[in-house]
This record gives sequence, C-alpha cells and structure tokens, in this order.
Amino acid sequence: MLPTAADILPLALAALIPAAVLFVVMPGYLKFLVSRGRTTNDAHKAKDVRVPTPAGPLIVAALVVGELVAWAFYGTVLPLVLIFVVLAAGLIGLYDDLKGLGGVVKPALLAGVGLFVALSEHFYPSVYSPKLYFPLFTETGTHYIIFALIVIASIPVSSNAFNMLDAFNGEISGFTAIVSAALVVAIVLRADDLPDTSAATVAVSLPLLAVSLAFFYFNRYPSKVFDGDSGSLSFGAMYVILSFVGGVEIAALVALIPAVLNSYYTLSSVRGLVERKSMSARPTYLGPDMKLYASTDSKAPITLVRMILVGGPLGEKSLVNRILALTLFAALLSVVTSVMTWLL
Amino acid sequence: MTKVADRSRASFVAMLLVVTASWVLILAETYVFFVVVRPLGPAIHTGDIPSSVAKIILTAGLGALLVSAMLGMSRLYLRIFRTPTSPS
Repeated sequence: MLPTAADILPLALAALIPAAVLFVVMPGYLKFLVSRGRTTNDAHKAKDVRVPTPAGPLIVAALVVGELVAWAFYGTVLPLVLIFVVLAAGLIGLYDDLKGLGGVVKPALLAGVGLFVALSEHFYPSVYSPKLYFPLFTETGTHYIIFALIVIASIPVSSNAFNMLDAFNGEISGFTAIVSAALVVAIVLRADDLPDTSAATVAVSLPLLAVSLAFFYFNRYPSKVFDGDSGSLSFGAMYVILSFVGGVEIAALVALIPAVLNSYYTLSSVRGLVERKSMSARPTYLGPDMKLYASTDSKAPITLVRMILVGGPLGEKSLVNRILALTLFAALLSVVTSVMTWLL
Repeated sequence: MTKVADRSRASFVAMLLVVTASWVLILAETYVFFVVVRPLGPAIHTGDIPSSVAKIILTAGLGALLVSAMLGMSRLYLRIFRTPTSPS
C-alpha cells in the first residue's frame, strides 16, 4: 500500500528532523572536535590542512533521532532494530577510529550485528521477509536459514564496501545520498506491491537519505569534517538492513555496483582482508600539479579510483564528481530494476 | 594535454560499460536461475538429495561465473589502458 495523505507529515518529519539535528549541532560539534585535538591531515591538498574527525557519532545520533520519529508515529519494531544496527556499527567504527581494529576482527564484529537482525526476525517475524524478489521473474521460496546467513554476511560486506569508498572529500556522503535515494524509490514501489510493506517502511528509510544529504553539505569539497569509520560503517550497515526490511535487495545491490566493483577489485588484488594503513603500495599518488595519478607500481591495489585515473590525472573534486556520476548511473539502473520488479 | 583528457573520458565511458555489463549479468543470471535451476526439483529443504545437490551446484556455478566475468572485465579494462598489475 502506497503512503497516503495522512502519511505526509510523519514522512516529512522522519526526513527533516534528523537533517535539522545534523545542521544545528554540527558547528558546535566541530568546535568540540578541534578543542580535543581530533583533527587529521587532508591528504590531497597543497597546504597542510587539518580537518576535524570523526563526525560518525553525530551522524549516528541524527539517524537514531530519525528512527525515533518513525517509531513515534508508527510504533513498529523496525525503527528499534535499525537503531540497534546503527548504534552497534557506529560503536565498532568509533573504536576503529580511536584505537584501530584488525582486518578480520572488524568484519567479525559487524557479522554479530547481522546475527542480531536475524534473531530479531526469529522472535518478531515482521522485520524482513526471508525471500528475494527478482525483477521480471518472481520471488524465491521462503528460506529462513539461508536468508539469515545472507543477512549475517551482508553487514560486514556492505559496511566495508562503504568504508572503502571513504577516501576523498564528499565521496562517502555523496555516494550514500545517491544510493539511499534509489533505495527509497525501490521501497516506495515495493510498498505499492506488498500488503505487509507500508508507509512505516518508507518512514524508516528516509533518515538515511536525509542525514547523508545534510552531511554532504559539510563533507563536500573542500571538506569541513570527515566522518571516520564510525560514519561509513553505520551508513553501510543501515543501507543493507533497509534493503532487507523493504524487500528490495536486488535493486539495492544494483545501486551498489560501483562500491561492489571497488571492493572486489581491491580484495582480489591484495588477496584478502587487509587494512588500508597496512597496504605496501598506494593505488594513487598526488602529483606536483596537485592532481591525482594512478600508481604505476605493480604491487599497488586495483581500486575504482585507480581504474578511473588510468585514463589520465584528475583533481580531487573532478575525481569525486566522476565517482558520483558513476554512482548516479548505477542508481538509475537500480530504479529501472525496481520498476521491473514492480511491474511483475 | 588533449590526448590525456580524451583518454580520461574514455576510461569513464569504459567504467560506465563495466557497470552496465555487471547489471546485465545480474539480470541474465537471474533468468538462468529461475528458468533452468529452479525447475530442477522442489525446494531444497523438501526435495530429495540428487535434486538439492544439482540445484546447489548450479547456483554455486552461477556465482562462480559472475566472479569470473567481473575478473575478466577488469583484466580487459586494465589491458586496454595498459596498467601494470602484479603477476598472478
């Protein structure tokens, strides 16, 4: 059932309130980070520019506020599950920001968050539908165990895919805003198809879009703040769980194709889960003209950025625009996929 | 300078093609899954062992095909743009 006129106010508030929280609190939060010495070097600038980090705790807080608004209006269990997911992924990311986590420990902890979601579905069978809805054809049968395993594995995969796209000014915030817009379209179309998917599902998906858009304002080139792993991991975890909650896994996967390609090429070239800091060679380097070049070192990992730069060097802003254009293209393919599923 | 800019645009168009190819691959594999693999027998948890084993092997085969195709695309892309990679 599509949202009705009565849903306009709850949906608007579920989007506007978290965005407003981020806008209002961010200036004070930036001063707090600077006063605590929580700044890092912006690596791709001519001068030594220090940027406050991590904004993840504020991003998580804004997402939680958005989910609480959805819960206040609709009272379903969905916002509560999403609040746990965002808080847990944010805390794992914050620990990684402050102390550092190994390349294997982090995915293992994130898989634990997925286990919580699978257990939530076991005790409250309205969190997600344990089947996949494919475009053009039909849906799979109901597979509780296989689907639970997919949910558990998906959080580390998605969170790390988002985290690996968090290297340049405005990259992660712009990417998240674009893919979450495609996700909202998919969930709205699904809500029209399924009796058990309602305006409540649309409401819980809006805070991610609103918060990532608001964060893009601060994170775009030249960045005033970086999100840190606490931001990128919570974005990735929330995105993938929303895709399960909305029953739009395939459309969500299509929007993520640039991130999937990036993760796949990186992992296959470095052969395993390796922390960015411990890679022996960098995929790109900054030239004297302040443009980014693809590394010619054969040991450097293959990344999406390196693949884009093999055609020629680009400034940071142009490079991020290329990545976001590629993401927008994948998001359009995702919308086409959603329409194909909706027409079924 | 113009030559570099042209190759930069070419690499972007090539990446758009890689994304499109990945999307088509997902749809094509979906077709094979529903038209070929799924009718092989009843649902895995209710069917007999030979039917379940065949379905699992074919589904895993589709996954392997997807991984191989993505690897092939990246190799082709890097060869076209002459990027040095570690020997494998």
